[in-house]
Amino acid sequence: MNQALSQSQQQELMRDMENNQLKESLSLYNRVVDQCVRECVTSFKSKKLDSYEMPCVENCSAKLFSATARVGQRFAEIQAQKATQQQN
Amino acid sequence: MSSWFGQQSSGPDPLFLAKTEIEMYNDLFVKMSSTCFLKCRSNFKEPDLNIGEQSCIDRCSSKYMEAQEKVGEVMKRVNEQAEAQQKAMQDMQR
Repeated sequence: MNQALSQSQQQELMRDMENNQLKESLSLYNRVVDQCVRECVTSFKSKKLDSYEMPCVENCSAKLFSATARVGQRFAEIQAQKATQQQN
Repeated sequence: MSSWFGQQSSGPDPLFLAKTEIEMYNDLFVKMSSTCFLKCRSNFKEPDLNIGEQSCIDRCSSKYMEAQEKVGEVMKRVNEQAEAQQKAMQDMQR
């Protein structure tokens, strides 16, 4: 990942990264919905989420967002460590 | 969908936003189909869905969309909290 990029290439890369962030955010959203429905929704007697399923979905999604953010932090730390190791 | 994006410093291309939104709904539909099939199929003895499976799929779809709404609220809350935290940190650094 050491190639030098021209100014315009760097700008394009930045724009791509911003766009991907958006897509990734929406993709995460869909994954969380699916994951939590799979884990929490167990009965199909009615069309509405019942008194167990609703809080389950809420807590499941909150945890999953937190877990994702935390993994992101650790990931960034490890990447940074690797970068400084390479320099030494 | 504009509530998703909040304040943007340099607005992204609106066509890109529209395409992304469509992709998101398509993805949602694909996942919903897959999950409701998984939850509702009871046997493979015949090619047609039986009555139970049909009403299960109706209810599953309804619940799935309700969950999608609820998760949207949670995500919005999480994002607002993260933004507030970031802002607080930036304020502290001044």
